[in-house]
Amino acid sequence: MGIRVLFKNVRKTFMNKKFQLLAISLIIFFSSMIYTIMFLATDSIKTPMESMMKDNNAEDFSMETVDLILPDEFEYLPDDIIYSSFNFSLTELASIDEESYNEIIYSRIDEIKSEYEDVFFELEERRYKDISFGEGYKLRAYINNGNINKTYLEEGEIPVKDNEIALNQTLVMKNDLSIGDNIKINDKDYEITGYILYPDFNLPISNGELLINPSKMGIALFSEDEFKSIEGIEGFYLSGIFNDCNENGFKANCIDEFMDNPIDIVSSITLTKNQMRSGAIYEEIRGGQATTLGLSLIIALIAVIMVGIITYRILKSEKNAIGIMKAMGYKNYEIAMPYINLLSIISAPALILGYLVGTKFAYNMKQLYLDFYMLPNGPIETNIGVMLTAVLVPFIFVLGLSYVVIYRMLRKKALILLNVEEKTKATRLNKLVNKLLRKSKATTKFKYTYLTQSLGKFLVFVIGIFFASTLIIMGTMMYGFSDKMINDYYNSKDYEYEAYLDYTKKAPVLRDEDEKFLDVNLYYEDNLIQAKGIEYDNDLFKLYNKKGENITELLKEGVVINNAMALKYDLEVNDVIELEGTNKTKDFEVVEIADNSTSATLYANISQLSLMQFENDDVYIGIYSNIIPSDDYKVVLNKSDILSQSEVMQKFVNVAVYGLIVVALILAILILYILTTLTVEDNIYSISLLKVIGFNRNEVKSMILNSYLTYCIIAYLLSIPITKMMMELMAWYLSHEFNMYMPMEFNLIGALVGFALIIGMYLVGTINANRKINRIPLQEVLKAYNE
Amino acid sequence: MIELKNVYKTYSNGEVETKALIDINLKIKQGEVIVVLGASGSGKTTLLNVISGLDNLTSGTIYVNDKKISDYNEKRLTSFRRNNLGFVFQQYNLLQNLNVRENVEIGAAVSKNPLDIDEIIDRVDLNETKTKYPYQLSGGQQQRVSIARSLVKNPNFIFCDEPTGALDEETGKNILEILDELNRSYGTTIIMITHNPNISLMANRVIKMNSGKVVEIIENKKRKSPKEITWA
Repeated sequence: MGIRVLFKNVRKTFMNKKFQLLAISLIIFFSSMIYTIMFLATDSIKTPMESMMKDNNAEDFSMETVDLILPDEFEYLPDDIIYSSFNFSLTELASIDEESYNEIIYSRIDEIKSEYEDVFFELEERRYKDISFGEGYKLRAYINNGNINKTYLEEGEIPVKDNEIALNQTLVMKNDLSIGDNIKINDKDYEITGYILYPDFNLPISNGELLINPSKMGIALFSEDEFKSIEGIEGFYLSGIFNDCNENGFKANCIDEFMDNPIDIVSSITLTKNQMRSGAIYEEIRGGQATTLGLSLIIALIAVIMVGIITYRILKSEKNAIGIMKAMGYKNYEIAMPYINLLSIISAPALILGYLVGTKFAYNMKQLYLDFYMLPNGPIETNIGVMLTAVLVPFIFVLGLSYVVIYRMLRKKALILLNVEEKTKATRLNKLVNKLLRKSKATTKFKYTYLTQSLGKFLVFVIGIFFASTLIIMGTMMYGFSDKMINDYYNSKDYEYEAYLDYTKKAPVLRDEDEKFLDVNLYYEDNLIQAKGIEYDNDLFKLYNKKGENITELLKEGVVINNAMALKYDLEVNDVIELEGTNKTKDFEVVEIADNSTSATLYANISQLSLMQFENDDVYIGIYSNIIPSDDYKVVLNKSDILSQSEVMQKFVNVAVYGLIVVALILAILILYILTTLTVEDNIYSISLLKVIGFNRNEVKSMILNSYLTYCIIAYLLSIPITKMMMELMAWYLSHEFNMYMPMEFNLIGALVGFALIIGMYLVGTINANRKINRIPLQEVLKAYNE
Repeated sequence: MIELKNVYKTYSNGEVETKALIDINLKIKQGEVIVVLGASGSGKTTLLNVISGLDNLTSGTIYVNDKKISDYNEKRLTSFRRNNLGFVFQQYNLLQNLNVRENVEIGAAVSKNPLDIDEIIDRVDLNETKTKYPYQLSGGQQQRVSIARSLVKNPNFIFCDEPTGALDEETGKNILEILDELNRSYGTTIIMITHNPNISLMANRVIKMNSGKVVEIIENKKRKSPKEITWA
């Protein structure tokens, strides 16, 4: 009977703080939901992905070898093939004489194996074609004939006829097609026979750029004959699996050895986890899970501290009642139980609801992943581990901290609890702020020492606002990144078409409007780097520095590197770098840094680059032009198609940015709402006193709430350099691990938008506190007891 | 001068109406010390609230220095309090984050013509505790801070609600001495609510209240000094 009455009493006390408790429930809900969404989604991807990798013998590493036929490989070429060492690549040989190509590849594999005879691994050729067709469609097609990276058939049949094709499901679905439908590629109709995936190509990227459009980019499988005949840019790499060692063993015995003693034919050895096309998903899942765990933990921590603060406030207001109950003979656990029960009733549904809603949205998150990564589509399965972490762990912390707070109050003697007068001592933080403001006016000091009265409140506020500010700054930095990466690069180029030579045919005659370019790979400090050769006085492919100045002419004096390469190799203007080509090794001065956001690239005058790699200075692999090139070119790319592809990526990034900012704002508004209303409630008598003394309404509001704004702005300003540093670290990591450059730069407009958001967040978050201040009557100060 | 004409104040709580003040007519001259006496619920705090503009009237008029403050809106009332009134409360109501000097400074901050803060602190004998925080002070010291805070505004009127209610005899007398001295030196009008009938001896006039009405006004021919008062 007594317990029931106690429960009723505590329930009524809790009801007085129902909106603050509701706001805390929302924060708890968010923490549980975010965690559940991300972990269920990533788990539903990870499990089938790992199974596919295992069942289809995914490569453990890949090796890039030089695409030139080396002099000692000429012996494999039949006499009737006319070649020259400078314009005949291995991939081109594949389309002309497959037998010779295979012999060279086998000889290379034998040579590599003999170099690393201590390490037992399997190695096989992985040949592909990048096919462009229609309005910006791009497919990567592999041959289905190896033992490593076997085709994963999701549904349907493997194509066997010349007019059959298998594609990845996302691409088919996004084009409103299905198995049995026809797709036209370069004027030929193909019947879709099935949905396929490859273990070594799950991210459809081109040239290391994050330019992904799942409705136009994908993978394809043709019959062997059709693969040979279809037009496309050919390429190959060697895929390997290590049999008698693990990843670390292979790295120590093979990769490190290769770094010390490079083999001529091998350009690079990359472990799958560092391979963008197949390994980025591992980092994506790992990073996504780590970020989500951090995000949920911070939100949960904020919620837990807030529950502690509110519990403390409630207990403080009930101090006398608790004292009376103790005096009457109630045991501590009997008094504590109603509080614990009510806190359970508030937090448990929020956590469970968060988990349930998270389970629903996990599907959407998974689909978002599958839009970009070509991976098997697994079901969202109930995961006991996720459920326990999302629901039980925060629940235990909420109740645990509340119990500590309640216990601290209950362990006091009844007489002490019944004592009306309890002096409020200054906290250490309070004293520190007082010291810092010792020369300030009393009104200023009063304003800024408010929040430091309670360490818990101050901690929640600082963590919450700093966290929200970080997310906002991150969002504003990410907002421009997609646009900068694609549009800034292509918009600065004045060509419309990019065409690649077909070496099986005679090179078309150059028109006045055409400008040659050459793409080669050079060695810099044992690393293979991309180099592009252009004329220093060209009109269609100009280079610009960060200030927007045209720096193309500087190619007369040295080489230009882009900011991705500067970041990756820590290079600056005036540095001298030694570049090693197939034909020559030479020192070049870095004369300027081009502000473009492609993968790490070096720009040199085309004739110089040609001489580095070949024996004469007029080799080129393609042209830029504003007039559509003839059909004699192997591949013609249209710049506007590439730009339209980037729109999808931009949309995705923008949705992510908006999501990030909305979560940050909701969180910050909830925190501000709870803390400012608590502050007003805690200081009713002081507010009333200020009104009585003669401070007007605005002055009182300013004294009570403006300090929050000042601390918000300080937290925001502090978050700028810290977020900037974090993003730079991330860019550095991506650049070093994946050779990918993400131009997420801090910009003033973004910072101003962030600032406006912080002000808006403050205004919304303090609406209720403002109202409460207005409602506090002047006579309140005349009430007998100060708390 | 403060003048109340036919002042009524009624509180409504649903269907129940409580008449807190009934037909109050009163004149308080500048420089007077007024003590309002009465039992709990007699309406003395309500009287103080309406005179000081802390609460609205139900009907009637109040003039302060010929200004009809009963017609003032909240903004004008705030300005009125800011420039004319000081308050001393039973529970001191000091701002806990500020030290003694800063609590006094808060009073000076709203005044157009404040007195010298340090001089006032010296006057209430708090020089030694200037940098201490409220939790480091005794009740008497806290009340002296409260008086200093209200005095530093250089107000025409000081309203005191049971200023000695939470203090022992010696400290209470000390506080009354300070208030008495303020009245004599600065000519500040002091209106004091108290339960203690002995305090009425230091007033020029004593207003006795019962059930919302002024039942008696006693004029002391000679004001006693607080030292001469015998504590109840």
